[in-house]
Amino acid sequence: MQQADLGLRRLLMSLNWSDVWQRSRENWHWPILPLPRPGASEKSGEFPFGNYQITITSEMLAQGPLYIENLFDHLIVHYIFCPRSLGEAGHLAQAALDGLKKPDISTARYLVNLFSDIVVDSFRLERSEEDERKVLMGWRRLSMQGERLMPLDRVVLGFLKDYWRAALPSCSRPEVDHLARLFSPGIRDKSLWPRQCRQMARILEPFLPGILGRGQIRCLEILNGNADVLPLSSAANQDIARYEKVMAVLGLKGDLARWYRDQSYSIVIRETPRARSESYPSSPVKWRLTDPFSELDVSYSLSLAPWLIPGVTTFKRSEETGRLAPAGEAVPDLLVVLDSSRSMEGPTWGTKTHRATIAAFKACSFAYSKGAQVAAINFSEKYLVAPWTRDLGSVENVLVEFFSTRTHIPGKAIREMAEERPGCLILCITDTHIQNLYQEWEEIRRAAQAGHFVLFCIDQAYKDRHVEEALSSLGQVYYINRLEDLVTMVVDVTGKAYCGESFISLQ
Amino acid sequence: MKLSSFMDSAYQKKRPGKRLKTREGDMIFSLEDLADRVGNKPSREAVEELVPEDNNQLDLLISSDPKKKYSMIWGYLTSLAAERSSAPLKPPSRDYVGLELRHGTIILPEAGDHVGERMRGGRIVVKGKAGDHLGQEMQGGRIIARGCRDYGFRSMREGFGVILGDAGKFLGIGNCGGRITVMGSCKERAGWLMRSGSLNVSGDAGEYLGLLMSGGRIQVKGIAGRRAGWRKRGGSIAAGGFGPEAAVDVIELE
Repeated sequence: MQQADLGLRRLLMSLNWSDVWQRSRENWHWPILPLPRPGASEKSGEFPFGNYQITITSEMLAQGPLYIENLFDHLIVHYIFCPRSLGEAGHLAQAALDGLKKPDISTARYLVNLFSDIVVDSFRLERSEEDERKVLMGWRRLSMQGERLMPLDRVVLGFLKDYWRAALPSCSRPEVDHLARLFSPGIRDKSLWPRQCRQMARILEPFLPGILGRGQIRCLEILNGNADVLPLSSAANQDIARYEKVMAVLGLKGDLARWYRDQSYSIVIRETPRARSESYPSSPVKWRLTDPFSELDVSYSLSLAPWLIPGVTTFKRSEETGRLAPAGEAVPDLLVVLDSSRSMEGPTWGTKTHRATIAAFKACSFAYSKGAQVAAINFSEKYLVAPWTRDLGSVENVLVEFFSTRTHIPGKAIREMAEERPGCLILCITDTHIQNLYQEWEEIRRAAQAGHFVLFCIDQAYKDRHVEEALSSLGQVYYINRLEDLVTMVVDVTGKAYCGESFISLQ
Repeated sequence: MKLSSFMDSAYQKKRPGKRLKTREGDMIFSLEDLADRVGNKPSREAVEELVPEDNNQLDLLISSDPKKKYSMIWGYLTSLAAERSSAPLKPPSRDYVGLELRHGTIILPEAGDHVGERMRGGRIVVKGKAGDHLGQEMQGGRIIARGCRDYGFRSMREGFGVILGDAGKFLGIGNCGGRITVMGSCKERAGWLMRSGSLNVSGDAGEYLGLLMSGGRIQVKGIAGRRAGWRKRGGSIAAGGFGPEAAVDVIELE
């Protein structure tokens, strides 16, 4: 047995698979992909390549170098064409889940792989005669498995026979025609892929599983090992349960923090240059004969009276010098105070908590990117504190907690945090059903004095004039009637604080 | 260097592979695919915008089973197919056939529910019996059926409905136009809340004929049940005979 294994190993060495790999890369214009790393094998006659999660078997080796080149070509086209990126893989995974009657992670993964296999090999087949030969070699080998073929494999082979006009086994099932119709617009239009994948899931669900479609989903981010930190663009329109399923299909772990983070990535804060003069035009004042004629605002004056009587109906625009100055290079630190009481409705799609947490995530990541330290307080009846830090992850972990009890604002904790960083920006997002506002009033007032307090009330304005007046004395207060405006307002305030015309003077 | 010559030089050693057959233009793969794009209860305009010009594709979509979920979309497709076809369309007997039909002819052996709903023109011929809500909210066109179940020609505004046999309950509720002719009998509460239009019944009518009607004309050649014209505020009812507690202005036909 050991001798046979040694023989195979020699065969692999004589094949010089790294040359074959380089030849495949050359075929596809040298894509930047790492060399397959051979790993230790548990079974004899198998040669796993850990980083690509493929295993070359003795049977494959016996097919010769062209077969291995075909295998590598197929692999490379997955990484350069379909699914290529994590975002595209996410879209396909979501489409597969949408198409399934019983959305199951492994079934959806089968379907994404199967769909991308068909796309990849159709793309290769159209490229050149040489590629066509290699592609058909692989599929013919599958078709020769005879009894081991399962219904799914037979349907797919039957479809490919018609679609590629190739010598593959035929299948008389109606699903073959459905698949032919599905791929009749071709495979090059990427915008059709999710629809095609969803429809393929509907057609092939009863036949799963089969030999085809096994293994992990292949995209560059997973190959390079950075899929855990990159955003999944399709997260913006999924609820958390669906998001976690999509991530699981991709072989990744999706949690609440990442769900919010991925959604906040798509929000753009447009950076305006810090060009601010200290003087600016203010209200019109009387222009007198002693003033320079150039200052006379003729059009404004004539709009008020038909005659220009100096000092009576003549006006000029005066200039005022503001207290606001161009902000310096230093940025204020950011403290986010987030309400997670029951009235905020919890971390499901479209709730107050959902919007507020996305806004808080965006504010934190933006402040962090500007070099600020961030801190967070998540409060309900209890509260959690993430102290001042440059570790964004710890702040995010605090923000995603949901207590779902009563609304007791921790005034003392806010004051202590604010006093640690004088001049910090305090963003407080709540729905104003604060039950201990008057008990904590003095602490909040002192916190507002230490930093710059901005309150976002998810509530209607003019409900209680006394409370409103009291709150407005703390700093800026925004009443959010429409929940959709919350993210915009928080992002706007954060953008102004860190890169625009800031109300925060750091002089 | 032009792109084509650049590609030629890049692939000079390669002979192009076979070209796979591809169709130009937008395609609808199935009813589910169409529903993914327009929703399960879309407007006719939304469906019309996406439905392919190719009649073969449309026929394929109509031949698939919509189940309950996509029956409205399927109904719109039958209307669009009938409008495009010069010959009468003969789709399977399901719900919502001829939904918002504008012109053309549909012939059905039997009919499900909501057939000819909101139709504005054209003809629907049902050789057998129709289900509930036949010709509901009709705004034009003609429907002929051997019989129908309840709520036939409800809220009709215009058009012509003919039932060759018997009709069910609540025939012509809330009508404000159109003409209904029933060659057989109809059950209770025909012409309830009728405001305009006409209802002719050759056989008998059930009780509460023309309940709360405020306009229009009802004529029953047979016998109307009890309380014909109960609390009616306008319009006219004429019947060959009527049961007890009929309104005072109900006319007895000779």
